[in-house]
Amino acid sequence: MGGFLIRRTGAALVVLVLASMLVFLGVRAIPGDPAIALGAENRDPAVLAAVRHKYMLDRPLPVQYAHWISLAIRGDLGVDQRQLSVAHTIVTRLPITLELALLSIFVATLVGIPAGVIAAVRRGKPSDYAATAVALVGLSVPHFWLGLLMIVWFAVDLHWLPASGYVTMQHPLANLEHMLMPSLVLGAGFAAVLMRQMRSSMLASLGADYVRTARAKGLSELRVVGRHALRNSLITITTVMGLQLGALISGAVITETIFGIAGFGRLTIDAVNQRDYTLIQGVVLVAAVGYVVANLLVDVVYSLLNPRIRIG
Amino acid sequence: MSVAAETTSPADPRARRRRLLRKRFLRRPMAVGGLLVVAVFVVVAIFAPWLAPYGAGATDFNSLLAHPSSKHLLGTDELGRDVLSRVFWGARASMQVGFLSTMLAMVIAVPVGMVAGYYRGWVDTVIARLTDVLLAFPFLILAVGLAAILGPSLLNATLALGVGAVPGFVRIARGEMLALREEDYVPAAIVNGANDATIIFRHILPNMTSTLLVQATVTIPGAIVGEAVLSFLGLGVQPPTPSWGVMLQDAQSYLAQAPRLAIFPGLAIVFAALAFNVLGDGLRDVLDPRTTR
Repeated sequence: MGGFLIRRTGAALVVLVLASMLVFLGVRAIPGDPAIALGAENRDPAVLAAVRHKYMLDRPLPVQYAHWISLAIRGDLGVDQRQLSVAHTIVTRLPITLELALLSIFVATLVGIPAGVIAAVRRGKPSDYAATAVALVGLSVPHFWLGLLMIVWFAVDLHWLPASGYVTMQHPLANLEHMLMPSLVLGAGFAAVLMRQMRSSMLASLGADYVRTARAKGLSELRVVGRHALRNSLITITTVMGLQLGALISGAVITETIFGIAGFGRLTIDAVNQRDYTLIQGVVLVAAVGYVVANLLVDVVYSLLNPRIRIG
Repeated sequence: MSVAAETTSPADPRARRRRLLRKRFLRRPMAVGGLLVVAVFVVVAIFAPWLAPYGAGATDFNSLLAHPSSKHLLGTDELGRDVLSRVFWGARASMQVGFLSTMLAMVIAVPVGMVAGYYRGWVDTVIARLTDVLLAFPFLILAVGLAAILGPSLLNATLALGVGAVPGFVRIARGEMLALREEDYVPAAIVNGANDATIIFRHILPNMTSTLLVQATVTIPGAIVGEAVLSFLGLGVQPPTPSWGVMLQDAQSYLAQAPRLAIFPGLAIVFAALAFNVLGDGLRDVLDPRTTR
């Protein structure tokens, strides 16, 4: 177990170092002289030289990288075009996106897992076909279109829900009112993925020997499905959840843009549209670190749930 | 029995397998329907200039935001452009990105994944780590970052989506290779003096085409939706070039007056993606005996 954890964490660290190098080099690959941008478009050679010296642009790339990453590890991601701390901006925007993500996971779990179990248990019956068809449609409907349709119906036509904006959690009801449509939109695709995965892993479990044994022992169908098949299928689901986190982050970017929520996703798009490279660098780095760490945690949980994985 | 007799006999195993697969495919109405819808979209994309009633940018200032009529079957947008024509033209961007980015991903990823699976050891470890680095960036963050570096355009959206699909193909090709290199024909080829390249590309690659085909069929709809998302965010196709994502972005400003502007391009995306997904599910059932019922 300890060996597995150390190996897995080591691999994640290697990936993070390489990913940070990629982010660093990617931003340097952007055409244009950063010194001109930093020096407020002043093209005087003396000013440019001073700017290059101040921002270490005259030093070799490895030195620049080492400087940048050592500051980043200490939580200093530099300042953006408006001279605001990038790290501070990210820290204020992240909780909003985390709330959106958690609510969508909640929606997806609530819908996707029972639907998958029912479809597997009633395989080949109308309820299976209905659930499978809805999931297939859910998989093909893009978030942002679903979001636009919901705004048209529930905000423009029916006036039930606000079309956009965000209210802090100090006003829980207004907060939920604003988050309801976004979390349904983001949760829908995730629910479809969970349903499909749940259905196929439940089908595999229901065909396994231990389920036949449980039935032969005379256990009730509810116990066979609930205690034996479901438990084993949920182990597979943890991995899917981990793999889907990336889709969730991507989905948050679009959902926040449509619903005018000033979260981390919206910040990413704004940074790109304003060509604010320090901000882009910081946002992409934080997204990658968060994603890799979350996947590491998923793997650890998976190994705790499934002892077979630790031997390999 | 002579070798010649065996290859020309009606019981040729390859022809028999092909016939069997075709029969199994035709028995699935959903998959056949998916294939037909995919074919329609491809035809519309290729022949858009002849099929679309109006040009992609043709404006009719006498009918702005017009309701559907016999003149404009799906109505017009805020500049008086025919929505049906723009949906047809938009299919070009979608199909182009869908197919090209998937092909790009396959060209990069399949040889890499096969080499990793064939040689294993440190080669495999290095490739696995590099794939993990690509996987460390959530897809849209990667695409947005690339769009920031390369600038927004249809070509760059294709590149970004292709790179994003690489890890999936590397994993599949590697996994298939690990299993296939244990088959009997591999040592047989070695004994016959075949070198590694011949074994990998002549003997093993043809045996993983069906798995790769299924993966491609499910990657294309992802790329179609991805193009729409990037164009919607202003990071893909640039207006006035028609694309379903660009149309939806325009529609966003007229949700109250003309919600239909948001409905038709969206339906086009859903139908295209759904058709590919259904086809992919069908092909998987047909080609993978483990999931056949």
